[in-house]
Amino acid sequence: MRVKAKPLECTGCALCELACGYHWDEAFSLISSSIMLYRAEEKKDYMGLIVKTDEDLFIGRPEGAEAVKLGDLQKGGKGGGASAKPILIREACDLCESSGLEPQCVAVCPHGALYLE
Amino acid sequence: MPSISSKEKPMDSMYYGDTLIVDLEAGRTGQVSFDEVDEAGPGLPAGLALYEKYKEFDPLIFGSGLFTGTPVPGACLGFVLGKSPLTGEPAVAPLNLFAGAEMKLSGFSMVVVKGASAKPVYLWLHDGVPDIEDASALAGKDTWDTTDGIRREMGEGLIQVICIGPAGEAGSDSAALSINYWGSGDTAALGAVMGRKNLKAVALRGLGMLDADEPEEFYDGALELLASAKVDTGFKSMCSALGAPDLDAWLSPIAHRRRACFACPATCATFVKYNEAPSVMESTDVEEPGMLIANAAAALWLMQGGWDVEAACRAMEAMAREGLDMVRGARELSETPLTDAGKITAAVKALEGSTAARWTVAEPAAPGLFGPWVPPLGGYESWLEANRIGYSLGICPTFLLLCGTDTSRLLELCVPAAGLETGQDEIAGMYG
Amino acid sequence: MKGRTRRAASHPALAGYAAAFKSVPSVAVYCGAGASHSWIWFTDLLERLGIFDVRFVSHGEILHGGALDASDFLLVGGGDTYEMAGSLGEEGAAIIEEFVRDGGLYHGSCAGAYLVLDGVDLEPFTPFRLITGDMLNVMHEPPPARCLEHKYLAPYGRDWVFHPVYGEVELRPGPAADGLSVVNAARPLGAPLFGGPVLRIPDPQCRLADYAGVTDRAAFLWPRVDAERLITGRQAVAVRSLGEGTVVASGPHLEHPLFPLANALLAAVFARHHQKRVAAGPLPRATGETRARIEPDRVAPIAGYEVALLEIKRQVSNARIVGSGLEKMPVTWKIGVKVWEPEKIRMFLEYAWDRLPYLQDYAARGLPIPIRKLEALALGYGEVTGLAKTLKLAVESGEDSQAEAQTLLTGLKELTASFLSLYFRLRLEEQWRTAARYRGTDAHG
Repeated sequence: MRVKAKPLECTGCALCELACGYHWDEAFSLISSSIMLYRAEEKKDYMGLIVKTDEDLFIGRPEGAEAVKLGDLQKGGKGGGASAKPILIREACDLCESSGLEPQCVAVCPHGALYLE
Repeated sequence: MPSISSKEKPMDSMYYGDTLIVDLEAGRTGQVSFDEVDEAGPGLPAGLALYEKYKEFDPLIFGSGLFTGTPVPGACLGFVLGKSPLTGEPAVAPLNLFAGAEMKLSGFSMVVVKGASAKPVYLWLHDGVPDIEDASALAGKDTWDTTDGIRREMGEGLIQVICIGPAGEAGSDSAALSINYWGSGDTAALGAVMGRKNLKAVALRGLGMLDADEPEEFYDGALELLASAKVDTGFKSMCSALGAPDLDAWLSPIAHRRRACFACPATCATFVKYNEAPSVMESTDVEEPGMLIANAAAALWLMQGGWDVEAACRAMEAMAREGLDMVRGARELSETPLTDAGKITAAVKALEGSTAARWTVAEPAAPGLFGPWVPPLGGYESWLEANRIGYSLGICPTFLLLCGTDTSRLLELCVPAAGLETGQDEIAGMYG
Repeated sequence: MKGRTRRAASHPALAGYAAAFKSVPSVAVYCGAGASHSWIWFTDLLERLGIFDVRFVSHGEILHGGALDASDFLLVGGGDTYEMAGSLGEEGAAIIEEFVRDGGLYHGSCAGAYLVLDGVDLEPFTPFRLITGDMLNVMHEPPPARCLEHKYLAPYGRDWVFHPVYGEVELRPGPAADGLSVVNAARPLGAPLFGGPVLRIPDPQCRLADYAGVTDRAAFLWPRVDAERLITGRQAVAVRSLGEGTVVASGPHLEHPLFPLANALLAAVFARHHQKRVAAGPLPRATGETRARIEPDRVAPIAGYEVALLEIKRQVSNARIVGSGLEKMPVTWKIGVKVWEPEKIRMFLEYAWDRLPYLQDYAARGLPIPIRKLEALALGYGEVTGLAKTLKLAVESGEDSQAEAQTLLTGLKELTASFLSLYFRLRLEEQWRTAARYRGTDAHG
């Protein structure tokens, strides 16, 4: 079971990042979540979602979503890579099991852009 | 990260330490304890208290609300407060999209900008570090080039840039500040105030965290409000409530994706593409494919003036680039629909901005602290209350009016947030 | 502090260890050639134990600077073992062994563990033979990895060292843990395994902890059932006495700041060694009390410190912001045999960022800080910001960014060591001052 995204349903509100960051740190920020909004190409309105797990990244690009193994080298700016291990910054998604809750990103997304599969 | 001096004070958990005082004339910054939040109230009431305190210096106050930056639905709102050149009275412009949240996260509770710089500068506020940077290279640039320039210089595409274009630099009464590329709800010509101060931009970025006093109770309350929010995507419910024609339908031929502000379940913005097909989803070589339509009032003027949708969006882009009040500009442009891109640009540059900003569906209200950025929904008292609560707590007033928010429950969240017991009457009282 | 580290730091398992180190040991943390980024985790551990006599040392300082002459502990974390061994060489191996035999404690995690196993019979490792043991995660033709291919293998002569699992594993105490109060045989403790050895330690009395199993919080490069079968019951942490000293070799990173029980196990071993040494008589090495007090390089008003500290804060902030933008970019860099991800740039910066308030508060109280050191740090972090921006531009334009990344990461590692050395020095000064007030004497009287 993992968190997946329907990228075109995403409106970029970042509630998923806030909820996930809260799950990890009991505080509100956009720097410590396992799910990340890729929104650095604002003028192009190119926006996607990245979910980091222990073994791969789920990259929800607007043109399509896929799971990419960590360490697969890609050059060029089409979505994100992330570290292979938790090094105090971004933990791999644990489906909020360590809090005993249902996955919070899925619960808070107002538009059903995230789901479990 | 915050100043140690003020960390024991109430409400500090939802705000970082101090108020930043920027003296543009001296080219210096200093920090003072953020006392106003306890004396006057959170958000805009604190900003108003600071405005009064520094009034003789024609200050611009940049700030955010108590909940800004948290997962309370609609908690995107920051503000810019200053004396409007149009009225001579204090007026507020909203900081929405991601600018309000970044204002909170930048590391200062409030920012007071006083005086004027001898040369163009911009403020770079990052994680509690206040830098006054030389903006000579940005002088004369439109808001798009300004935003790109600052993001390139600082090496980060997520920096939020509150900037002015040529109109603001010229001190035009039609000038408005812009949030990144997209214009803003500034109908008080605060962009002109920035221009008079030679303040080309305020750039914001912070990597901090906000703590609630009772995090679990606060978070649960926020999720409860989120679950109960009645949300429609797009402009449909807003237009319907206003009795205005359907903007979504008008935009649909060039609509690319719906966009939301930070932490907001509503989607009051639509990105349109006209320099490439709106169905193109991947990132292509087209660097500027279109425009974010976030100003429904301006869009309605052009739509009801008979403008072709693509031409209208190009006109809004041109106004955003120039740093113009898009509502007044659209009202003026609505009388003469154009289609040629060159003529549109020329018409935008020739705008006089003589008419008052208002929605197509309402007579202009007497200009006051809150401009017509928030649509006239539900009667004046409801509208006023939404603005007061919204700017205090950092919640978009349009969201409050449109999405059926339980205001009492929202105000109850002030307790787990920051130990603040308050109510509607108390909030109203904070505005005098 | 961020919530996770805050919770880990206040875990009850760590309570009470400060008393064990009342006579403060002098600690050298290796961050020289071959050390990657995990050496930085010792920072949190040492803070939690109240040990502030800490230096961050390079291979050069061990070889030529007498770094171990003044140390009681040498802590070596993860990285490129080949580069570590090659840079330290025979001479370094001899210095480390003498250090241990004379009463020092050597602790090696991951690469630091591989380094000292006498069963690693390959150049340049042969001079390093501090613990009798071997590694089991070696094969001539390992099966393909399910994931994390870039983390899976390291060359070992004609064979390969492979890593079947990456992430949190469970440990159970071994015979060498008898008497350590932190240990609860009924309940395994978690620790992260990030490429460290699966050990074979022939002497049961040297087995401090065994692998008890795997967890869901890990990546499985082998199928889970096979990974579990390989490691369960094998040795994870070994400890032995050597001369007057102690050697600890650990596959998992017991020092990782998010694993307080693992920290406590390591702390217990450190405490046991240190108490034995202190009981044996005055430590042969210089202790904290005999280190010279800080004198400012020149008299500077408080405003001078504030300016320098603000400049450090400014540049660390600028660099962090650029670093955070790099994290979502699909790029990694290979330096030696190690793969570096963009996240590690911000990781180094966060360690300085989180500790800057302490320096600012210290200066605000009018206490002396070497202003030249602050100025050098400010300059260094300014350079880091510039390098980070150049790197980001290269990545964004699709250019090869390997050289920029190597320059940045190497420089940032050294700068972080320099910052942390200053930080710990100030904490130590404060510790002395507090102790002196308690004794009613001067800080050095």
